[in-house]
Amino acid sequence: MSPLSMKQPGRAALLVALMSLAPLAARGEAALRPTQCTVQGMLDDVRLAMKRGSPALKRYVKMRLKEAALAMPAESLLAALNGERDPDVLEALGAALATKASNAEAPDLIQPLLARATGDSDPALRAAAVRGLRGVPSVEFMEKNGGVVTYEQLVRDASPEVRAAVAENLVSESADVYSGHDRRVSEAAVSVAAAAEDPAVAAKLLREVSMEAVGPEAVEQVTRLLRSEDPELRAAAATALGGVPGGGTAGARGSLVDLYRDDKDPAVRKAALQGIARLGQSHAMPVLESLRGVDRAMDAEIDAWLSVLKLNLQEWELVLREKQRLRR
Amino acid sequence: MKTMKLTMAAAVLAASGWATSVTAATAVGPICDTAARVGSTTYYSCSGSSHNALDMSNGTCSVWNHRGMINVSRYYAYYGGCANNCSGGTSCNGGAGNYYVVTGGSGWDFRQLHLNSNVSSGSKTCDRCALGLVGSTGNSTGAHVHADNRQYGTRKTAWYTGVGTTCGSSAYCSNRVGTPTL
Repeated sequence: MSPLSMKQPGRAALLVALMSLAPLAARGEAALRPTQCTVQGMLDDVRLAMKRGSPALKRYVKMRLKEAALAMPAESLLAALNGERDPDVLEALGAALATKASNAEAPDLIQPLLARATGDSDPALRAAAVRGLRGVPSVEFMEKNGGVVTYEQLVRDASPEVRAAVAENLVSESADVYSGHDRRVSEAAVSVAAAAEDPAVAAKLLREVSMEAVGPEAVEQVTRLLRSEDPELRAAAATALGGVPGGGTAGARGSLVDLYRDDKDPAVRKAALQGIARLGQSHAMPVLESLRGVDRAMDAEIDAWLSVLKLNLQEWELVLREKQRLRR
Repeated sequence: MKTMKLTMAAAVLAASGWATSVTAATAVGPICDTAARVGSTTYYSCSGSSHNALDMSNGTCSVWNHRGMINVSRYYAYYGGCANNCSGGTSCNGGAGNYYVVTGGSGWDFRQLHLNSNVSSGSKTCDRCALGLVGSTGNSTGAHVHADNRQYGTRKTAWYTGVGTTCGSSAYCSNRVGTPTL
């Protein structure tokens, strides 16, 4: 095909595109009419998008509802929330209401969402209500609403979907709202992990929520979880103990050394070594050296940590990345 | 493919106790008045000496709310104690006047400076809420909001140059002025 003939279909396409830009009235079609935004109209868009939309459209309609909610009267949002039976739409409405509460510093606005999270008979709707609280200061909001509903209570829900939503909320709140620096959220996560009957949920919380600001009571709670029957939870508790602040490090180090010596599970031993390395960084080297020979199969892991700690990297994320480059 | 590898690497780190990775936030203008404009960026008034931050104003003092700029819920730590002022020129709080800091990971922070305090002022967690009034406390030459994004105390500029914010850009509260790292 010559370059000239290649241009012909392109020109035709351009013409069609230009015609589509011509005023609608000039083409004898009905003109678009402006309509007023309503909560119901926006919810219909969310409902449709969640059923048939692309991931990008789903994100867009939820974001649009959230932004519009800042200027909407709370009553219309609350009325819609109380009657909603579609989990996806309930989650979007909940997120919009929670964002409005955060913007207006009005924690009482989330009370109906908390009521749905605890009282709805459908577990999918309870989970959706919990997810609606993600990304806002939900732990603080629950306290300011009198502590009538707490994550400790929600994590005992019979539905695994609700329990997973609780863990996701706390992980997200610690990382995204506070960059891991908030004591209240970290301690709430520890209490929830201790109260959880689902070891996978408890393990996720301990593994992924920052422990950098927790107090001595929370350190004790985490230490007690080193004796859990579930190896995943013991390993997560060891990981968490590696991240506790200065005051608790001596006791935590001793507990992790004991765990390494006594626990036969390789994943738990691996997590104990990571905890020891994180607590001491370059000062952990003599402790790690002393653990050589306890389990010959783990000596390569100890060697990897010693190689990394010799580099004197200044941030834990860099240390961890380098360790994972050497040995997963 | 590269994105997939990065995502997988982040997932592996998360599963190993990586919870405070650094992210790009979105910052909107701090004043809900369409007249609000950016007056200084990398250089004072865009042609003066080095500044490496945004100054935003609507030409009023102690009238309009000085709002949190990050468009999600974040913790704003308040450092107050400076008497309200509309002309500035004091060294209160090292010249920052009354100010807020949002602390991220790896030494990153986002600050909003020089506000006049009112009942809204104080440490809090919120999403674009009122933090005080647009004012001129500290080393300031007139009421404005100063916003900067620093790592280990060094001001960075990519957060606003990357989205094209310059002198004259809107500093209205629904207009994105930057993508600070936190």
